[in-house]
Amino acid sequence: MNTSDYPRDMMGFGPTPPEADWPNGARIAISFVINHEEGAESSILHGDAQSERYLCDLGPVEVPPVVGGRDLNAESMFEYGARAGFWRLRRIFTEAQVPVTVYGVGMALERTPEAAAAMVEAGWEVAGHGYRWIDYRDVPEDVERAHIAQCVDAIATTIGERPVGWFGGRRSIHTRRLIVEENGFLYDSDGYSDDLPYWNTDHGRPHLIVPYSRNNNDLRFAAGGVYTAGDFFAYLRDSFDTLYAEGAEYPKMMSIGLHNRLIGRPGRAGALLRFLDHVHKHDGVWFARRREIAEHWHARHPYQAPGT
Amino acid sequence: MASEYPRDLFGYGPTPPAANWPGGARIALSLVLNYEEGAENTVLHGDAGSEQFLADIGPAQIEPLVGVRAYNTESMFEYGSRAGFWRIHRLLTSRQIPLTVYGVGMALERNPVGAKAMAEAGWEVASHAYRWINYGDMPETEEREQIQRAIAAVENTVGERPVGWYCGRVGPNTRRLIVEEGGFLYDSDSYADDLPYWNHEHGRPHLILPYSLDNNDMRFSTNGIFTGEDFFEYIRDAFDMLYAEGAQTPKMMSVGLHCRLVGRPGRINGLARFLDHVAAHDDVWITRRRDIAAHWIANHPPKGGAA
Repeated sequence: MNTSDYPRDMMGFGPTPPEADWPNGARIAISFVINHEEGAESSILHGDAQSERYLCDLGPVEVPPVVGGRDLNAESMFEYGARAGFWRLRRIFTEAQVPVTVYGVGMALERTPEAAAAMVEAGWEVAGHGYRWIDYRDVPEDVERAHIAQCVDAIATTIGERPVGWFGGRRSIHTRRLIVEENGFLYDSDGYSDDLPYWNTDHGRPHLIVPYSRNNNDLRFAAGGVYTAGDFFAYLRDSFDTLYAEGAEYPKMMSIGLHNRLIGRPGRAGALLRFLDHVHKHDGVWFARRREIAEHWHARHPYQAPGT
Repeated sequence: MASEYPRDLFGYGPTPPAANWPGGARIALSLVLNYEEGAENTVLHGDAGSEQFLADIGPAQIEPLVGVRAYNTESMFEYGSRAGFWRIHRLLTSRQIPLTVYGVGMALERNPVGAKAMAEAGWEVASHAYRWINYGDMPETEEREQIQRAIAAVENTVGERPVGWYCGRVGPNTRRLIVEEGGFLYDSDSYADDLPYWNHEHGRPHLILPYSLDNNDMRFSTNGIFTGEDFFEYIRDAFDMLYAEGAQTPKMMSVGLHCRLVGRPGRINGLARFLDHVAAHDDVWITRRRDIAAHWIANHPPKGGAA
């Protein structure tokens, strides 16, 4: 049932997605995303009430966060991401000459200026991923608005240009409206609802969503489900194979989410090498930064009002 | 950012130092056996309730029992000291693989025969605290006392004091107390790097040998792995990555083991397969953590003065 005041779109492109028309007739657009979060997680050092326990190798069962104190184990796992994991991923992607979008958390970039410079040098896109790596669900709207501005500033300062993409992650009900209001973004990726970019009109002017993925995502190493690099590789390969086959008729996009402290571990990084080998055996693949996908969509698939 | 921020998010960055491992090895491999059984939470040890961490109880089930013994859990831990330890001991001694034990004081005291076998095998016994509990909330004076008891327990059961330390579930004071104690060459309460590094937070330079909770059989219990084959695959992949990188920048690799976990018959072959895989490679330094620490102290002393 479709009522005009129901704010969700359950139909989308339905059975007949548009012809994406990727550059050079590509059958698939692949976007690798590295989440750069280390140094911006929950910690009393950062003014928070408690330590971080999300998306690291503490294990799913034990330890609740430390309230009012530091969790030095969790901290060191995050430090691994910034100290060792980031540089391992940078080597892999620069050697493979595959472009990357970074979801950069403002405070993390400020604490890792060498990594920020290395992203610029590699030609990576740095999109905004909040000023803090925290759950924004209960953050008051005016604080979140200020954090968005701080994130934009942090990226402008450490990277040399402002972000045109946004991924909140643990976003609030206000996030998208605030991003549209800020007015400098070409797209946001706080959506998991399609295999292609789409327009959202919830907040006045048409706003482009480039959907992301939490299943093609190394967070599964921490959130449960995957242990071996072989399993992660197999999952990514299967996603790719399905979209590549469909791409003979309807080209799609594929997002792959990565984290320095997770896939950057030696026992896991090999999954990326295997997946890149697999993809490299195929023609018609467009490795793109998200901003290029967004720019392509803005140019080739501009918003059209219903009935026009 | 403010200079008083106490964490180091850069470390060695893109240019790690040349480790210079002995014999020009491409990788230093440290196997660690956590010896904990008999020191876990139970009312028998004066605790409020039973243990529920790192056993085969399963992740979904039970809260700890409060005020009474949990016979199932206890028997799973007993399996570790009774059967698992000796299975691992046979595997490693038959292949003459050096090992570091993270020995919990109370657990060693409850199995002097096992402790003697560690010493006879030439294994290093580092201290893994006096109890196998969460030290997060322990008052400083009590923790200091427990560190002394932990050292004494290793000394009494193994024959010499520990020079390495791994608490695990650390508290805010743990590292400072270890530095203060003065007799440790290193601690391993960190997961922050692929190489040893110096920490300067507590006065004199203190060496950290980072450990791993992902190259670790605890995943059999905290979910993620079921088969020995999966465990083999994961640590093989870690070895292969570091070995490849080691052509230019040699690293170290830690593998964490537990008597009651990988010591089960359905899992031990994962470890055996890994040892086969490693044996097929040249230039691997399989060693004890104290030897890595001694090497680092000799070859990579802290900037601005000796440890």
